[in-house]
Amino acid sequence: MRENQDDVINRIVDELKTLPAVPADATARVLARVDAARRAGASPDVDHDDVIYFPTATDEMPAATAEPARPGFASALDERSRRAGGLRRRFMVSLPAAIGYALAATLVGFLIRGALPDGRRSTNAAPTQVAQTAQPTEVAASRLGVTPVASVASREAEEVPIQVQFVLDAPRAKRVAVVGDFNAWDGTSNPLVRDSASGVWSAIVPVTPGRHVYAFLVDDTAWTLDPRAPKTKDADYGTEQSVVIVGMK
Amino acid sequence: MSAIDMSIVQRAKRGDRTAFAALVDFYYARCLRFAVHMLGNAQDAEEAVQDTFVRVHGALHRYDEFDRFESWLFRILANRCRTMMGREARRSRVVVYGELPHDKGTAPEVDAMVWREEIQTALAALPAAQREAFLLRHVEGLEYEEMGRITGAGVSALKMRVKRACEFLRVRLAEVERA
Repeated sequence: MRENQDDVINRIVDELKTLPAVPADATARVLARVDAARRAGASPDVDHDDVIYFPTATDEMPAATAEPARPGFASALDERSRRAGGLRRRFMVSLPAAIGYALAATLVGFLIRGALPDGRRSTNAAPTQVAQTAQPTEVAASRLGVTPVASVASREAEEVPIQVQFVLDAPRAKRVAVVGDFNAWDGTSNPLVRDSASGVWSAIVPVTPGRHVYAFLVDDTAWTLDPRAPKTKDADYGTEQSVVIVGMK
Repeated sequence: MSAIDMSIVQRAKRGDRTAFAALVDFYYARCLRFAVHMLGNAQDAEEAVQDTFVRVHGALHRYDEFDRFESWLFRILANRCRTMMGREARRSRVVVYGELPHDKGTAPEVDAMVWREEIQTALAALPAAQREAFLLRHVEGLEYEEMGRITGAGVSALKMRVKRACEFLRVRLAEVERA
């Protein structure tokens, strides 16, 4: 029985060891991408060969859930809550005290809103993170950065790409493209189109929901971050990239 | 497959473009095989392998020659596959591997085709960590210590993953054989 079982594994391994056909231009494409990366100024540096762990220590994790966990406010809150014995226990208060806190919070809220300049009163944040950063001059801020074109709320299936508009104010540029993990950092996949009146470049790109990193490639050479988006460092090269969260609230 | 001549790696490390191209030629098929089995999709596998070699080129200067080149390369490749699995997790897994003769073939060929498809289906059903460990150990023929450096997991955990993968595959494929 044991021999039969090992024979099965051997047959599986023999089949899996068959080497696939390699595209004739495979090496040429690698070299072209190496050249493009060098022109774009991507500097190979830190952490390229650090192990990216599967997001769970158990062996039973299904492949379909293999998405890196993102530490953030929620996880920090969970941890604090756990230490404090849970949010409910920690913040349990009497009804009169709760009413008092609510009134005080409302009063403080009105005072703060009144103290802010007009331009900052509205807090209609876009569904992406990029709206939180400083806005460039000259062009209306709403036209720059990244904007989901389709309604996020109407999307039921998470795998359905969402149309995202990438916009960059670069009046002196001759060519602009958006490169990111959603287009394999290919500078030819998603060129932006220039609005002749404003000098603003834009393109609508279908992007699957989730966290993505990207940058603009100006005139085929200049690696340009989105001034409205948060930044992160590439895990492999240490190059700065912009971040967009698509379809996630 | 024998290991690459280290003088080629050293030349590539010094910036010799021809040597780097030779290095890509030498390892491309093997990397593609691993990526196809890990990702279950030829297009994604191609992208992962291309990304891997671009990163290898960018980081060659940091490659420590005390580390086996193959281990170092597969560490980067495994990372790329993991990253892509996170991105592609919501997509359905489509197994595309080789050209399968759907419209013709004798009975033995059809049996072989069914066998291949069942292997791919069973492999896809494995948890990713087990699939990775099984492929590195049995298909790529790496030692557990090397696998540990590639995956960041301990040797005992890797042995357990391989063992569970083997058990799962045996059961699944034995059923196919009996059918």
